Amino acid sequence: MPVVAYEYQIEYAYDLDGKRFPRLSFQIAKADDPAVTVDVAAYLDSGAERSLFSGRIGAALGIDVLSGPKLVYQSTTDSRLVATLHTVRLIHPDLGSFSLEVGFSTSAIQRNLLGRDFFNLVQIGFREHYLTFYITPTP
Amino acid sequence: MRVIAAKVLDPTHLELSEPLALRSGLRIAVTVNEDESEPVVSATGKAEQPAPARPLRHRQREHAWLRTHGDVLRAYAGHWLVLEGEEIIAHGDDPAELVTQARDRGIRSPYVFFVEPPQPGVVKIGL
Repeated sequence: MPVVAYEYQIEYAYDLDGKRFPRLSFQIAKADDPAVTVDVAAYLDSGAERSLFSGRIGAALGIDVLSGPKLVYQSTTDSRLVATLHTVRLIHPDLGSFSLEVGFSTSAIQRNLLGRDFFNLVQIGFREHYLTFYITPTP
Repeated sequence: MRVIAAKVLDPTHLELSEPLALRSGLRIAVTVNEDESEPVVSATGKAEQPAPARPLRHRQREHAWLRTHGDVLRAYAGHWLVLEGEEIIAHGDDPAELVTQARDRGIRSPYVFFVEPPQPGVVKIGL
């Protein structure tokens, strides 16, 4: 039986309804300007094929979110949004720094999502019963 | 069931998962533990217990504040917010502008997020 040891743990965050979700806070930077960062939070979404950030966050980083390759994100209701792809650096003081090509939504979204592309860079385990997730910075 | 086997081994042909100084002709006992609930024992005889996971510290103060100040946050529902420690630095509709305001106050990497309005009875999915 595989046994995975995790280095870090974090409790799920609360929303204003008092519900709790796995959410990770980290810094995000343009790939070519890693010194200029903003701190953001993103929901861990193992159902998302690729990570998605608000285009407004991209704009705050100085990214032209209306340029770049376009990608359609589809929800389970078949509603779709268009995002543009940009390579960014995700930086966390404990977990390290990761280069990732993510989507920046061209329409308003309320939540940033870390999808399977991020899960590919780390190990993440959920203990839903304890509202805690575990993470270690190696795939 | 626990099976204990012993054999004299040439230490040069013994591959271990961790370094272990051996005398030549040393008798080695190998324990095969078929009960997976028991801890694995290393070559040095110490039980290999995984280190407990440590809490992630990044933005810990802000997380604690968010956890305990839902009543304050409700006033900012539907807006973007920059939070530093326990202080709301800026709020409004344009996070790029808020980030600029925060940087003007000397915050190198402003923590900016959208305050989702409460939606009782709504089940959230990723998108």
